[in-house]
Amino acid sequence: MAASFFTAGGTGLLPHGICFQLRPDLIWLHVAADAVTAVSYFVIPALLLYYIRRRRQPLPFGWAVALFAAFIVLCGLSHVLGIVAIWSPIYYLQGIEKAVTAAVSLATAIAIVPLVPRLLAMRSPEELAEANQRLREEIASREQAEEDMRRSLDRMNRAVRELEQFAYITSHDLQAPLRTISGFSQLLTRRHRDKLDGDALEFLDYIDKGARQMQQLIHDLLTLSRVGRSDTAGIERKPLADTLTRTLKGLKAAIDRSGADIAVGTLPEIEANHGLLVQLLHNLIDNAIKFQKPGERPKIRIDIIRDGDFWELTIADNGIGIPQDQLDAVFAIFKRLHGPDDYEGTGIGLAICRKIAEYHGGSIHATADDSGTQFHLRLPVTVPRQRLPAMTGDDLRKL
Amino acid sequence: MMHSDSAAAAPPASGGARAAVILLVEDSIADVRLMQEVLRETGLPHELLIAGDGEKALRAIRREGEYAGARQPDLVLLDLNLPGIDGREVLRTIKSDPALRRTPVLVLSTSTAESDITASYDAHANCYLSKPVDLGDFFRLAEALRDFWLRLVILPPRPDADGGQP
Repeated sequence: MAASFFTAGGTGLLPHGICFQLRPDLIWLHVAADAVTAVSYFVIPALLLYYIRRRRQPLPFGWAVALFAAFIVLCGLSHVLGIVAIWSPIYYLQGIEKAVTAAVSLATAIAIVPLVPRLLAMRSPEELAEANQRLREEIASREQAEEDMRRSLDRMNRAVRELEQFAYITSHDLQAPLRTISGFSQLLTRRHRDKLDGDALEFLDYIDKGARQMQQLIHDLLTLSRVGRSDTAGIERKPLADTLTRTLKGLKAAIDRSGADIAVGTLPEIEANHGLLVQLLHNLIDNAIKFQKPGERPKIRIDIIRDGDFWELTIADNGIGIPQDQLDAVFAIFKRLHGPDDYEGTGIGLAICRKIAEYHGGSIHATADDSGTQFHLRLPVTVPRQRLPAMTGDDLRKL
Repeated sequence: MMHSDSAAAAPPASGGARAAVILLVEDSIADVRLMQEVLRETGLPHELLIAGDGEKALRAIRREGEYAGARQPDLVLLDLNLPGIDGREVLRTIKSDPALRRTPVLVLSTSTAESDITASYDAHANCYLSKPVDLGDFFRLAEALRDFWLRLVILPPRPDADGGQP
């Protein structure tokens, strides 16, 4: 009975159990070992598949894992066939199954070889945690820097607002008492001239002159504070000749009075805020006319040359000149080299010129010799287009 | 401060021309006095109502309180910086009230701030004038006011109730 079972199949081959001489202990040992191995080999890929499916991100090298799972399933299958072969000589099937396993395992082995360096390059969880920590610190420090910058920007904006407020107060509150002083001193002179003696009229004249000087000071201070408030939107490429014509129109009275002779070289188109340039040229030409030896007719020469990336504009006069040790000082605010009775002025004009030159990313300096004074204005051919910083309250204090 | 100041040189309305009523809203006594002087020198028959702050300005234009017996202003000269309700608020109130808004309001301020100028026109100011510092400029301003606003311009008709007042 048993023998007939073991010979069943009609292939003429003997089942594997015959090798064990049908000893039950040997048979069951092999069956149990193969069964446990097979079950384990089936469970492992099942768990791997479950893991791949439940993962939120796709698994790197997922195809290699799948190949590996197939290889294990096939190994499990070979153990199952081993059990069957104890009773049934399915050696062809077993052989084919082994061949398939061999192919899959070879494929897996070949596939894994190039993965090794990549797997080595993958960070361990510890390394990842460390990198993560470094990133977190980096983010924190950048956030801190951003916060610092925001705070500085707030401070700057506040300073700009304060300056605007200051300019507003200057223009309104300081001018109101001035109107009272000059208005009533003029009214007194106008209405009661015949009742006042020479001294009284002289004193009233001083009051009036003081008030006018004060008014000019406020006006110039306001101009100074406004330079640079505008961003680079006002930068345009325009003919300098037109800008000079506009400037000379504004100076017509002074030019006519002094009989000034103004010679101008060939002027190109230049990039600048031409509104500010008019102010700058006005101040320089007005100075050239004003600071003149008595009885002398002002001669002014305006030339421009290109020096690399800069234009160099020169305004030369035949005036009284500037002492060599004062050539820098004249650009400081409120700096005056002469008393108001000799030459009128607020001492702000050249400070405005310097501010305008620097606003364009340029500079201004003066030279002087026996023939007179020369102002040299350097302006970049291409004015930097980034938003230039507005002047702050601190700048004003530093002036 | 006096509320009403009829120009001594020009008694109100005899015949066709009647004295224009100007409401001056100004907190500085000195500026009020200057304006009185320069207006007087223009030789224009006028009556000057004075309001030293925004509340008084609104009462004056509505003819309430101390201004109940005063005449209706033909023209308002408005300073912007005032104690209490400031000139900007006075302007907005006048120009958003159908009963008041046809009265021309001339802003007269020392401020040349762009924000003040645009805000005034946005609130329908009839013009924006810079308050001069120099007396000569002040005279020229008063003459220009006289020549344009009180001679050339046809102002809105006065309410009938006003006409009968002595």
